[in-house]
Amino acid sequence: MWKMKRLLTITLALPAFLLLFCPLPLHGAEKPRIGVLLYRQDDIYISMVSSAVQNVLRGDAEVRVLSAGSDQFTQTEQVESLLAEGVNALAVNLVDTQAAAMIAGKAKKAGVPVIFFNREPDLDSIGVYAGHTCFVGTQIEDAGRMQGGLIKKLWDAHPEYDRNKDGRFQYLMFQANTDNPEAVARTEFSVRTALELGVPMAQLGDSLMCEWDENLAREAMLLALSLHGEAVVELVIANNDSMALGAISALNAHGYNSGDKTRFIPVVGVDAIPAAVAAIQEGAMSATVKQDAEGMGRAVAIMSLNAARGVDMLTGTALEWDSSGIAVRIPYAPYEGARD
Amino acid sequence: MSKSLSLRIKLPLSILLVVIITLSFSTAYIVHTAQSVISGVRSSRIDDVCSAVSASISVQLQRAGKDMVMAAGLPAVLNGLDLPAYRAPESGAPRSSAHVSAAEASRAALSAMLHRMKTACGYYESFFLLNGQGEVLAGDLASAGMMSDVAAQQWFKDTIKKSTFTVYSPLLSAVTGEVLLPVSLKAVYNGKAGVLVGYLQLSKITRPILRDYAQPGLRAYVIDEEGGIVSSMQAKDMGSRRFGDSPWFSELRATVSGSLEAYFDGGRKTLGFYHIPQSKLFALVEADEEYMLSSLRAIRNAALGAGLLTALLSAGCLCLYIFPITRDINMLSRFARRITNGEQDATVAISRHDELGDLAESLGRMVSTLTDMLQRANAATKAKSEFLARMSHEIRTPMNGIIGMAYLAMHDKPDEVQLNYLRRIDGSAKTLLGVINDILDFSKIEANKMEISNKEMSLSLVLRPVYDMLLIKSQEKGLELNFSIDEDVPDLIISDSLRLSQICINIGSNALKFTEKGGVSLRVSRAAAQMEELRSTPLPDTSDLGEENILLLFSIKDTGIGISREASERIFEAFSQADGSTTRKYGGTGLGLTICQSLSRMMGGDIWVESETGKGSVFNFTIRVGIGSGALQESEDEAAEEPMPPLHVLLAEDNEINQEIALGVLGEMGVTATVVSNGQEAVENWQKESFDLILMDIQMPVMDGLSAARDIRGQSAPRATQIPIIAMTANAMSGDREKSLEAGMNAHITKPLDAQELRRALIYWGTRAGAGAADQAPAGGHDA
Repeated sequence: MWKMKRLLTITLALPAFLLLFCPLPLHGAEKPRIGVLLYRQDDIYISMVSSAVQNVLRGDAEVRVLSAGSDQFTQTEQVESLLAEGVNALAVNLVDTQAAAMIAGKAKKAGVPVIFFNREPDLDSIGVYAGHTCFVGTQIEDAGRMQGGLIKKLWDAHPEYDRNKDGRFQYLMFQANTDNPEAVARTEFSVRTALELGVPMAQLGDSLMCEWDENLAREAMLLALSLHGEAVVELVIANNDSMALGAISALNAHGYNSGDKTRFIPVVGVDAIPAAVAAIQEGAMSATVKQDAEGMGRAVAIMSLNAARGVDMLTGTALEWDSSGIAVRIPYAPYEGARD
Repeated sequence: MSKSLSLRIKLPLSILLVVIITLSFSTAYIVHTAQSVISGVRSSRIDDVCSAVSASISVQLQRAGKDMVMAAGLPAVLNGLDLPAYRAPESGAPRSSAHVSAAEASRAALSAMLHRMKTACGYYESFFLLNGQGEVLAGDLASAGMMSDVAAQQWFKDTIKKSTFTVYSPLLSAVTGEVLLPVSLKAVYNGKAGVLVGYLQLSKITRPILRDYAQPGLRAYVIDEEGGIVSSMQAKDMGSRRFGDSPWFSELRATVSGSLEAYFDGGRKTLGFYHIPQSKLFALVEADEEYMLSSLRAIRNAALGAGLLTALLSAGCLCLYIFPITRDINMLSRFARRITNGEQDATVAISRHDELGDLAESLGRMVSTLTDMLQRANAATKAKSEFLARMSHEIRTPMNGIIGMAYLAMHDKPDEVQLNYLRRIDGSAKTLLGVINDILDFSKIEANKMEISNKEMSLSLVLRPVYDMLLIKSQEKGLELNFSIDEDVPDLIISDSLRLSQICINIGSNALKFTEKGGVSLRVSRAAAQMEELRSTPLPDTSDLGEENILLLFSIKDTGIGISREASERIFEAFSQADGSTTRKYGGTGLGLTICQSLSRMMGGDIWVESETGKGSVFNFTIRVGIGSGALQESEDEAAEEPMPPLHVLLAEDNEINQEIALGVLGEMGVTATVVSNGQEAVENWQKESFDLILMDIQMPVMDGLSAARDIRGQSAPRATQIPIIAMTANAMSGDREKSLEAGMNAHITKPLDAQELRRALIYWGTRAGAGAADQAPAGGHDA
């Protein structure tokens, strides 16, 4: 009998015990938790931004970084699971800019602020969550326009670059792809700006689609050199530094850009990644446009933290909203090495 | 007794009730849980379908986009950006001009290429290449008209501005009436920008998917931003149904994805909603209530079925288990009732190995133990009765000797001193006899053996000897004695004269005993009606009192010492006198009043006392009596006045002293006797000689008196039935009289012999010798 009684007691006491102690509050006066979602992890520029975010937030917040592997469905699921985990703020580098409204909607439902960065969504579409969402990016035409300016300077300063003396600046275009807005904008505006500045630009063959990738760019450069002949290539324009470095590596293989001033073909990139900066200082590359990864990272970090703490997002920054009122633009800067 | 529901009904009913309530609750809980689970499953199923439709369409869009991306990088397309804007040939102009410009040739080549691409892809209706100003450069030139004023359109501006693959809102084809989805991509070459536009046939992309996911009760649609259906499995839905106006649409639109419930088209619908990435389209899944509830209904039916089955099974089990139990309980209660009704050999046949079996077994054991104890108690009572009878006999025999011898001695001319001694002996012996009789009566009352024998009698005649007896004592103490009977008291009544006399003598003697001066009076009256209420015991059976009966009140008043209030409450208890010290002063057993109380109660009345210490007491008792019919028989008492006839009697008596006493008494009366010492001799002597009467002792060696009487009555001679036989016995216990009458004797007198009593019997029966059988019941000797 006493055994049954004891059993009964335990049976009754156990659920009561569980009920009492299970929902212990797990978050007390804890650091805010911030989820950072990247469109992919092996993009050098994005990884620099990501590192900058983590460096700035170290000690102030618990940061969770997830990569979507270029799949918007994966990213959407990641958003859902982070929201379910109870993050205090999200920083999202969209895979598909059209998904912004959906993600903003989910975040709104959960009452969590969301900061989009790098890839620019339709700013109207995220208006559903005004006040708790914003975009941190660049003015996408700027990179191309600065490249155009650099090209003008090169053309003016180095008449010897018109190697066949035909009065035209023949160039190879290394484009990432045809559907990335940044790539298209850089491709378009670099050449258009140079043309507008009076440089007689002439593209050699088709644009070389290299998906921001150094190796693909190297292969494409080797093919282009053999296709068009070394003699007519007077300029290399690349959407980013990785592809520019790939092209330089192919040029090196043909004995160009290795120190011999007579065997030099100017190469212009974007991003000012460390390898490109080094190449410029060595004289193997002409110029690049600095996209401020650290500046963007810092902006994303501070704005996320502010949002998580519920204070104005721009608190403690020197940033200002652009004309849309919900976006901040991190400026580009031309980089031509020590000569600047 | 109004019996409430029997256990047989109550137990199964309550258990069944509990089962049904529990089942109802659990069924309700199961159904409720199932409902939430199923609606959860269904909702998530709807969400799944929704997101799968969205994903599939998105994949198709991406495929379509890849075609565009590929096309936008093609040299022919990029070079096409240098073409001049296309002008539709004016009507009337020569169709086939010999001079086809180089530009027109390359435009035609590019258009052909785009046409080939369209055919290869299979889901584009047409392709166009536009320059930065929205002018057509190449493509499906026959439909170029639909591209007029493109530059002003938002999608074109967005495409130019945002440099991204753009999917725009669907539109209806002017040519085929089909829903077309414009997609566009910016193409850039050498600083020139253009736009590649493709018109997707939406139904080709979406319908296989919608078909795949459709289920009975579940339909999928593709809707645009305004809530209009742009793709459906049912062609009639197109354009005819719009969700945009529904109030829930704005709710869905705000959540971007999710589900909700809404009422429309006459039913409750569950809706899933999911944005299709890269587009301004949404997948909408609509589920009927039927779809949500069909499996729930099955579960509910199953739960109800299981509940019903369980209820039936438990009812069956209850019948199977409880009915035998109630049957056995009923059996036990019948058994107990039979035992109560005195069937000591009743048994109960329950063979089960549970608590009820144990109960039946222990009940059986208890009954047999009790029966055993009862038998032993009965045996003990019997032994006690026998002991008392024997004691009675054994004491009475020597007492007979003492009283008889004293009587003889007193009549043998003793001198004055001796006579005084003899009177003392006689008095003491009679007192002792009284004590013994009290004890015997008390024993009988205790053993419920006292019997009341009601017969018709004359009240005055019964009270006369009582008066005579008390008069002797009152004269001794110099007290007055007065008896009176009220006028309205009938003289002829039906009652037990013996017991009535006994009570009167007892109380009267008591009154005299405790009175030193003044006197004692007895008054008989009809009791007032309210005295009925005084009874403290149930009314005994009065059926032998006749149809009409009345309550008589006997009040015995004295002027004695009186009794205190406290004492009067205890006075009727056995072995008590008003004061312990009175016993020492006045003597007595203390049983007299107890016996009186019992007797009066047995006679349908009660007894009580009104007293004041020092001023005397009034003892009242009532008895219920019948009204006599007037046919009163002549009694022995009347016979006592007659002269003794000359009789020759046969005296059968084994005790020599008793023989001597009897002979002495008989001799005094002038009666001659032949003496024998046992029944055998009595029979032999009766056969040899002629006697007027036989006096027969009961307890004798060789043959007892009862056997001898039977023997004589059994003889064939006529005198065998005519001779009166009078039993003489010291057996004073009740039943002796009946036994002797049963043996054929005519009368019964007790020893010690009372000379007066013997004389009355001899005169009565002697004068009636040969008058017939002995079924006339004469008043026998009395025990008092």
